[in-house]
Amino acid sequence: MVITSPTLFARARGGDRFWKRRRVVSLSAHFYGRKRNCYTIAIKYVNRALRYNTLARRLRKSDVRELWTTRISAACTELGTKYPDMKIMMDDSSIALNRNMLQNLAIWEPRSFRALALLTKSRQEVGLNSLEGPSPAGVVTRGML
Amino acid sequence: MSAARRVQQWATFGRMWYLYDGKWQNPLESADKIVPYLDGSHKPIFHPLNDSGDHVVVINSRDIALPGDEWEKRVYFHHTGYAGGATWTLAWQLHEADPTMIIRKTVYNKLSKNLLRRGRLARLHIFPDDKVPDSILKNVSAQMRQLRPVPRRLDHYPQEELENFPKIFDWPKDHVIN
Repeated sequence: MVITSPTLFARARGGDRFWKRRRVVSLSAHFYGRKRNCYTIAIKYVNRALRYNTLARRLRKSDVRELWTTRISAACTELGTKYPDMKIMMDDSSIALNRNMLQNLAIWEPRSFRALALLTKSRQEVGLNSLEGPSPAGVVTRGML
Repeated sequence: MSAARRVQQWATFGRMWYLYDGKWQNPLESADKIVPYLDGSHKPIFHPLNDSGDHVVVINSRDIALPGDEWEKRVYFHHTGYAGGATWTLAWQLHEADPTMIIRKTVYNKLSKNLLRRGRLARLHIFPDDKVPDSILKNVSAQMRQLRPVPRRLDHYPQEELENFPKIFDWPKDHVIN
């Protein structure tokens, strides 16, 4: 630091109080009352709002996932199946579609979603190798099956 | 927007009016069925702020069937706001006074507890019997299936069907049944 004369001690400091406050008060434009316009009151509520915003980033993930699940189960019920059954079918058939994609299909690609619902229903039908349903004719079980 | 797209838009976002016959149905189970239709959560385009709910018209609310001894045991609380203004009314007393209240209170309790609840309840129209005003009947576009099957009453069967029904055995004419 080389200050060789007293005039060089003078510094230009601050001067942006107006713009600092404007930056804060612009974030409170939709608040009620003096919180909207007065800086010293608004700064408290703007800080609170920004805190809520950062905390809500975690909550948004679970909220949006819940919305997707509601939409998918609504679409499944419309087509006569259930979402848990569809999940089992997708696990068995290695269809790796997440909830986001499924709800987009349900809204924008209804025929593809209908194909998934039909797959679910066909999987629930009694197959040849199943122990449910009637035994084939000519099999001696002596009432044990 | 092309005509086909416009039709698709109206068909997707149009508000439906469903009819539900509450005759001999459990109001608690019926409310579980009705609430998703009022929310809009029976639609894949659901969002809580989307206003995607539908109207539900409930008829024959006088003939609902609470299970077991709930008519004598279930109580509904009301407070007028003034001192000493708390009342506990039994279900049968409330039903006698206003046959639409039980269903209305049940659905109100099952809707999500936010500011959208009253708007959604306003889309529920309850009538004690079959008489629905024409202005509402004109809008009804679909019917919801009942939860419990309503059996036919023996005195509602025609006489010749009763006589022609196959019988293995009948009591002798002079037999006294106590």
